[in-house]
Order: sequence, then C-alpha cells, then structure tokens
Amino acid sequence: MIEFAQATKVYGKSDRAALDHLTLTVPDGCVFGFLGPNGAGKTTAISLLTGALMPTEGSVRVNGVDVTQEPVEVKRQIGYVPDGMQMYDRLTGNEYLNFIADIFDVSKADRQARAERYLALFDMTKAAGDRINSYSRGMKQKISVIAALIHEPKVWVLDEPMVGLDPRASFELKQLMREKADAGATVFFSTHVLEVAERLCDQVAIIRRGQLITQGTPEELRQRSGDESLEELFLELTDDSAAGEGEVGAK
Amino acid sequence: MKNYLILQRVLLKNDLMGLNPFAQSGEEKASAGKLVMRRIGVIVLLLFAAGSVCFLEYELYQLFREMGMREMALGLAVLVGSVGTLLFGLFQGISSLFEGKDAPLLAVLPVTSRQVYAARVTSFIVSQIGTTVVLVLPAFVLYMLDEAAPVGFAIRAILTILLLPLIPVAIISLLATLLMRVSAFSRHRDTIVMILSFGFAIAYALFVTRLNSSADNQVNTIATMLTKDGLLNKMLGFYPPAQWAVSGLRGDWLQLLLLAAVSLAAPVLVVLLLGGSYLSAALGSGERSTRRHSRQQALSWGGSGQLMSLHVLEWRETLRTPAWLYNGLAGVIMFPLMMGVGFYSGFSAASTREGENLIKMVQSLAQTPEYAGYVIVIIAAIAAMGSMVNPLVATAYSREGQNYPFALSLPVKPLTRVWAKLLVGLEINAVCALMITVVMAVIFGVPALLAACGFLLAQLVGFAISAISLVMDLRHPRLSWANETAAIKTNFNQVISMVLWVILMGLCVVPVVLLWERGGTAVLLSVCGVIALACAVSVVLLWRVGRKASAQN
Ligand SMILES: Nc1ncnc2c1ncn2[C@@H]1O[C@H](COP(=O)(O)OP(=O)(O)O)[C@@H](O)[C@H]1O
Ligand SMILES: [Mg+2]
Repeated sequence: MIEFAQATKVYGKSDRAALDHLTLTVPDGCVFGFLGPNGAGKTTAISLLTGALMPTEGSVRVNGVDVTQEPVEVKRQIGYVPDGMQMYDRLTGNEYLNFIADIFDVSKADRQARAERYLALFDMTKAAGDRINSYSRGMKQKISVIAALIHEPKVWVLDEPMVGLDPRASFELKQLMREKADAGATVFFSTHVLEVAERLCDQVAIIRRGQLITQGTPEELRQRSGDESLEELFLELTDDSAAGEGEVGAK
Repeated sequence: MKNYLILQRVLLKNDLMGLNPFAQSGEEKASAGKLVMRRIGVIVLLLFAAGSVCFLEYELYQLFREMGMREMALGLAVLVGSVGTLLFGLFQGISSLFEGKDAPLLAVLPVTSRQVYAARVTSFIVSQIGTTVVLVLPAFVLYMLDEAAPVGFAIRAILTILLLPLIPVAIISLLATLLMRVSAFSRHRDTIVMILSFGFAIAYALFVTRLNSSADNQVNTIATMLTKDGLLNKMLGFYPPAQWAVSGLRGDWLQLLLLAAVSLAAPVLVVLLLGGSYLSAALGSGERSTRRHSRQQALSWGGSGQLMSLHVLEWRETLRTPAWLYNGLAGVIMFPLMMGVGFYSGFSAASTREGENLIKMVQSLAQTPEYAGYVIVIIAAIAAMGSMVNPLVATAYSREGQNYPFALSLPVKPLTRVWAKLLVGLEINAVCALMITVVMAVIFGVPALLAACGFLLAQLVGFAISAISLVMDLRHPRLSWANETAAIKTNFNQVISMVLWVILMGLCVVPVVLLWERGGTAVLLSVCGVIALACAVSVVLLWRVGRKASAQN
C-alpha cells in the first residue's frame, strides 16, 4: 500500500510547487495508473516515493512506513523502473542484474531463476553479456524492468515504462504487471498512453500542474463524464486553456 | 566561417560550464544566508589557492634574485607552463577531443569536420591558457616589478602567455588524433591508447634526459652548468620554444616573433592536416564492440555484499569510461613513473664524480639514525602527492550525473555508499604512494622501516583528504555536466580538494619550519599531530553522514 499525504515538492526556490498537496492511496493488489501531461509532476511524485527527493511538506508512506523516517526500510520493498536513461550503462546486462541482486540481498539460486525467466521472456538472454551502452533504448528499458523484478518487490514502481518498448515487449510487460498485482503486490506506474491505462488499470488518478484532478476506476471516470472515452476526458481535464480549475470530473 | 564561430561559442560554453564555482548544484533549497556564507567560503578558498601559488613563486623568485639569476624564475615558469602541458596533457587531449558524447549531434549539423576539429582544438587551447595564466602570472609580475621598462615587458609577457600553450596543444592534438586513428575499432582500444600514451611520455622523458646527459659529457662538469646562462640553457635546451619565449621576454623581439610564427602555424597545420577525418574518428570512439552471438554466452550469477558490490561498480565505472580512466588514473600513475625516470636519469647522468658524491652523501644522510624523523616526513610528503592529483574521489558523486536519483532509490545506507567510493580513493593512494616510496627507498637507500613509516603517514594524509573532499562532493554534487570529461576535469569540487591538500600541507610546513632545528623527532611528532587532527575531522564528517537516515542534504 502506498499513501501520499499532502505530499508537496517545491524545487529550489521556485514560486510554484511541482507537486501540490497530493493525497492519494494506492491499495495492495492493484494496478494503479498515474496519468498526466508532460511536466504534470508524475516523476516528481515517484521520486518522493522512491526516496530520491525529500518532500517539502507532507509525507509518503509505503506499507505503513514513512519514506523520510525509514528510507532504507522502504526502498527495500520497492522495485523501481526509472524513466529515460538512468542506468549504470557501463556494466553488462548480466553485471547490472547481479549488482541490483546484491544490493537487495537476493540469494544466488533466486536471482538466477528469476533472471533467466525474465531475460527469456523479453528476449534479452543473448544481449545480457554485452555492455548496456551498446543497447538500444528499448533494450535498456527491458533490462531496467528485469532488474526491478529480480528481488520480487512488494511495491513495483514504473515511470513511463512503455516508452521505447516494441509491441511484443509492451504486451509482456502489461501481463507481468497484471500478474504481480494479482499475486498481491502494488503496481504503481505513470503514463500518458491512455489506452494502456484504460485497459490495464484497476484505478487511475489524473494530475495536472502538480494537483490531483480526479481519481477512480476507469469505468467510474467515464460514467462521471457521461461516457466520453478516457482520452477525451483526459484532454478536457488537462487542458490548460480551459477556464474551470479541472472540477469537471470530480463531483 | 559563421557556422564555425557559432559552434566555437557553444562548445566553449559547454566545456567550461562546470567551473562556475557559484553554480547551483541540481536541486537545492539553501536559504539566502547560507548561500552568502557558501559564496564567501568559495571566495576565501580561491583566494587562499591563489595566495599559495603567489607565495611559492615569490619565495623562489627572491631566492633566484639573491643568486643573481632572476631569469631562472622566468625560465622555470615558462617550463612549467609549457612542458607541463606537453607531459601531462596527452590524456586530457584524448578525452577532450574524442570522448565527448556530442559527436553524433555535431555530425548531423551543417559544419565540416575540419571546423569541428578546429573548434575542439581551440577550446582545448583556451582551457590551457587558463592554466598557464595561473601558473606563470605571479612570476611574470614579480619579474616585471624589477624591470626598467615594465610596459614593454608586460606586452611581451601577455603575448607569451597567449602563445605558450599553442605548440604543446598542437603536438598533443596530433598525437591524440594519431593514437585514436591507430586504435580505432579495436576491441581493446582503451588499453592500447593507455599503453601507447604512457610509452610516448616515457620515451619523451628518456629522450630529454639522454640529450641532457650527452650534453653533460661534452661540458663534463657541473661547475660550468652552474653559471647563469649555462643552467638556464640546459634547463630549456630540450624544448626550443621555451628558449625563444625566455629570450623574447628578456627583450629579444625577434625571438618572440619566431615563437609567434611557430606557435600559430603549429595548430593551424594540425587542423589542416587531420581535421578532415576527425569526425569519423570521433564517431568511431562512441561505438562499442558487442560480441557476435554465435554461441550462447555463459552468464554468471555470483553474489556479494552491498559494500563490495558498490565498490566493484565504482571501479567498473571508472575503468570503463575512458575520460575518467585517463584523467583519474593516468596522472596518479604518471607521477611516480616520471619520478622513477627522473631519478634513473639522474643516476646515469651522474657519471661525473660530483654526481656520485652527491648521491652517496644523500644515502649516508638517509641512513643516519638521528635524521630518521626528517626522512619519514620527507618520504610521506612526496608519497602523499598522489592524493592531490587524484580527481576521482573529489568527483565521485558528481560523476553519477543522471544516475544520481536512481542511486538514491536503492536501499543502501549513506555511509555504505561513501565507503564504496572512499575505498577506491584509498586504494589508488596506496598504489601511488607505494611506487613512490619504493623508488625513493631504492635510490637513496632508505631503511625499510623508515620507508614503511613514511608510507603509512602518507596513507593517513590520503585518508583525510579523500574523506573530506568526498563528503564535500556528497553535500554539493555537480550533476549536470556536458560530457564525461567535463565531469572530472572542469569540476569545481576537484579544485576544492586540491586547495584542501595545499592547506593541509601548509599546516604541516609551519611546525616543520619552526621545529627544524629541534631535531627529526620533534618535526615528525608535530607533523603526526597535524595529520591526526585532519583525520579526526574526516572521521567526524563521516560519522555525521552515517547519522543521517537518507543521503540528501
Ligand atoms: N530538478 C528539477 N528542478 C527544478 N524543477 C524541476 C526539476 N524536475 C522537474 N521540475 C519541474 O517540475 C515539474 C514536474 O516535472 P515532472 O515531475 O518531471 O513531470 P512529469 O514526469 O509529469 O512529466 C515541471 O514543471 C518541471 O519543470
Ligand atoms: Mg516524467
């Protein structure tokens, strides 16, 4: 379970919060989609969750433990797939997986079994011996996903995970997210690809300019806005030129 | 031409970005008061660094003046400013010309390869002019104050400073480009480049000392060498441009003209000669060899603890990033190597009776029990040089760059991370200090016990410097660098770590000077005291990192 309570982040001395009093609860066994346009504050929220940033105000708790109080304890439970190219790309894929497994104290047998399964699943077994800086963008993303799963995290956090993946890998990833959630883990991911959110998520939240606009199951959101597709709703809610402060969906 | 100028401006700005000491590091929320304090701190540090260079050169200048050899000060400054670049600049040249990540970006712009090369060489020259100014300016100013016609000298001095780095940079660019072409597309390119570069440097050093010792045999006595111009000529003899520069500074405009002509021609020639094929070579250096997947590779699934794993990661990152390998390790290895070559050639040049006697004298001094304290302190001081020239530790957090947030998301205690990085520094210090100690011990016949004590003392100095500069880098990492060379080379935190070294050495020198007459033991004890204090400071800093739950400021 992930709880954001009034979580706020102001970068440096900006006069505007990148994340503005976000209050959100993500239950166990749920695939949770975190939606928002570019610059909405998705990565910022995730950084507060993974302990890479300190909240300016408010708190984030994972399974009841506060990230600021017990950071190492919380981080141990999280498998994190960062966005973009954050990666120790001078290692080979194999070395990278071993590194992450060492950090999370995964036994030799476990890491081998898991790595072999996921490498085969994403067709990465042959490339695993090469340096990551020789990979394509999608291959890097795959290694990142596998690394996040090598310690069977209770909480799986993915920042724009579909970017750069081919259709096959994207399909496998969605299956995995479903599988982990059904096994009781919490899967929290950010995206701006709406079809993914619509079909995959048990719940979604939409944020814009750091503020939570609306939250619910995809079904609920569609009903509230009178059977528009989620895409239309999203465009409407996140339209900066619209006069209303995004109250359309939230009754 | 217009394209070239635009490119030049952007590259210069990009290359020098990290040097702004007031740049905000990443994400910070310091209060105004704290910011002002930090700026004052930075300014004091910079003033201190400038002050110590000036002080050193002032003392040297006074010494030479009393001996009636003012020109020696000019000669030394010119030598340090130009030959220094030549000997130590090769790795920097390779990394600033070839290890930028922007080659693919530049390749698609409507500029020619020669323009890109010219722009790169120019920004290399500009950075070297910067270093030259720092090194030679105090000596030049002191000399000017004693001149009858200071204005003329000032003009000549400014011209000389601008001209001095040109030839070394041209030679280095030539060598670097040839090296990269020779080794292009080889699987073991980094190793080849590393070995060949060391080969060049050693060959050059040997060549120079051979030249000198053969000149010695002709003159055959140290006495003639000690006359005013004899010594100067000998010193500058193996690098003619230095001779032209000194003659030019002393008023010979013709020699200055010669220096200007050759200096300007050299880089232009190199650019014309090699510029055309530069971009393809630079692009090639970005390619990584992958293995052919004809057979299944055996993946290994070993395991180790967090500290070990992070430590290995640190080493792999360093060894597999050419810019860090060259700039981080090369200087540290080069230094004792050069010292070895220097002493060796000193030996072979000392075929004269005077030379032999001199070494015999030093050896007997080193073996006199009463001098044990002095010997230990001197060995420690020289062996600790490695911790100053090693920029790896002082940039360890900065070099994580965009990986920094990910590193923070790992469940690792801050202190474990610090130690994983600190150990790298300690290991490098140990290897460097060991080489230096062995060289000195062998040549001067220092008893093993004293050598070991000196070595240990140097390790403590290394620990203090590394720990303090690492914690400073942790507090204010400079994460947004343009390329890997910038991350390690133009990082202000590294400057701070050098200043730290100077301060610590300064603190040691004070009691040494005061107590010199009181005997070796007193000197040794006082130095140990200062070092113990520095170690205590670093332990406190480390302890404070350990107390924090999380790694952020
Ligand atoms: N390191 C940073 N320093 C200052 N502002 C930042 C930083 N990172 C992000 N921001 C700002 O915070 C806001 C949210 O960014 P982010 O969380 O990355 O958005 P998203 O991931 O939803 O695209 C943006 O306006 C961005 O400009
Ligand atoms: Mg983002």
